[in-house]
Amino acid sequence: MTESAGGKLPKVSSTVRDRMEPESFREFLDTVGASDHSAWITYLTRFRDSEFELIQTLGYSLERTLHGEQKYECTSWPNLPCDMEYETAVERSVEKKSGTRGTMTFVTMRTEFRTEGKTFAKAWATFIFI
Amino acid sequence: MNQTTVPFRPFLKVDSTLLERFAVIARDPNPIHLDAEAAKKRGLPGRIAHGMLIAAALERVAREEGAIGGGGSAWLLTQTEFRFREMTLLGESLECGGEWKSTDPHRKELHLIARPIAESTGSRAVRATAIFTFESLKAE
Repeated sequence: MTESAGGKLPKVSSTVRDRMEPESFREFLDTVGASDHSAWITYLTRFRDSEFELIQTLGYSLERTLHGEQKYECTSWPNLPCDMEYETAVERSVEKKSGTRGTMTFVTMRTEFRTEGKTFAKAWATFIFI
Repeated sequence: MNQTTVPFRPFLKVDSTLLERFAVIARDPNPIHLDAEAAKKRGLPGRIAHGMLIAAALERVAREEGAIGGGGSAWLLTQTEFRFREMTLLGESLECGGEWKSTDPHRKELHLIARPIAESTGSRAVRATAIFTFESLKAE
């Protein structure tokens, strides 16, 4: 459900296309110690350019950004290499007061991951802007 | 509901090299992870670990546990959820543990919590919690 407890909720989205190569996939998994190279959900935890774009569109900078709650769903596992498309949209925005660091704003973004026109995964990422 | 305990074990040591490498491969060059002064300007005690580094490392544990507890490739990891409770600081070593929960023969959940290993920090507050959902390939 889309809602905004803190006021404005921009109706913005961003779509980015990316070429997924086996080498970059393996490098990411090796860094976090994952031995199972079918670990698609692990790889999807990477920051997405579409999220960067929306953070900037909302008027925030990366150094004010923390990761909050995250959720991922995967329904199929594409073979590599493949062309992917990410579409990210702001789903929920809430402004909340904090005693120690002033006002923090919570924004949840929803991303759909597609290849060959079909969605194979979804992600919900809450960003906390400090 | 069937429940099985997963004992705590070390799973991540947060050092400078790891944060720098993760910043590149995860496309997250946020200076609060890389520059102590930048972090302090944002009111943080110092460099902190990327939340998604904690998440990815927890998922590695979940896959290992899933292979042990679920008969290897007969189970697929289909859903993950993470909540970050406290910041993880540079230099901390984390351990994780939790329990398996199952109400359905074709679906089971691994609930994990991540916390500092006692020797590595002054606070052992839970840093993150996660739920991993596995589904059986053999649906009836």
